[in-house]
Amino acid sequence: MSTPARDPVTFDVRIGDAIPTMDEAMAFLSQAEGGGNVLFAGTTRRITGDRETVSLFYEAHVPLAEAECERLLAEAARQWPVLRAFIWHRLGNVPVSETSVLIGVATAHREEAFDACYWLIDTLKRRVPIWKRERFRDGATSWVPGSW
Amino acid sequence: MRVTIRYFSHLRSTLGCESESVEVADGAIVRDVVDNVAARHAAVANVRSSLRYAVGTSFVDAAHELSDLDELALLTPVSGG
Repeated sequence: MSTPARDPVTFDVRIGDAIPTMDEAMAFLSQAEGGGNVLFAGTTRRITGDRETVSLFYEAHVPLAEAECERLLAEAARQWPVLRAFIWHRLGNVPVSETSVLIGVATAHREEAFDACYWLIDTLKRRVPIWKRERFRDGATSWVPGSW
Repeated sequence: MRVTIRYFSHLRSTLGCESESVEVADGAIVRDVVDNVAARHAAVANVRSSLRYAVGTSFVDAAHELSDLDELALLTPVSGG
């Protein structure tokens, strides 16, 4: 009896003014026919400490950010048995409660999908050349301190 | 040879420009160009220790040798996500 063939690992990176919807994200992951699909959505938070945010403005070194996201996905696939994964990051103004970043991972079992997805968002925030400027309710703006 | 330097985020805001083109000696390395830029822009000198560098779609270190028409990005710590 032969072993059923798996589809090749599929990655997707999109960085731009618009990103696909959550329905499209789940459709992308579901094609892996795995047992665990984990989707992380980073959204603009309204309250940070004692200040109220109205929007975040994102900018990127787009070609480098795309290349680095591809490298992150490849590294994740070396650490966990990833079937499908994507990183989608929006640029420009993202108002409160809207999604700035979607990261999805499909694996055969849930634990590795959670682990890989957590690693991807955590590592993106330290390695991918994207920056955000916060606009507050009082009209002030400020670049958010970054980290490597 | 000529190299284009690109700025992002608060460096771009503070300097008021996204890029500048500079003439550098053949065989120049990233550190030479950053010395030149930091001497002209206090905003760059002030954050120099936190910068990372990229040429094209690759991160490079300060000893990386540049080529004519390279695009060198000066990257401040990132805050995406």
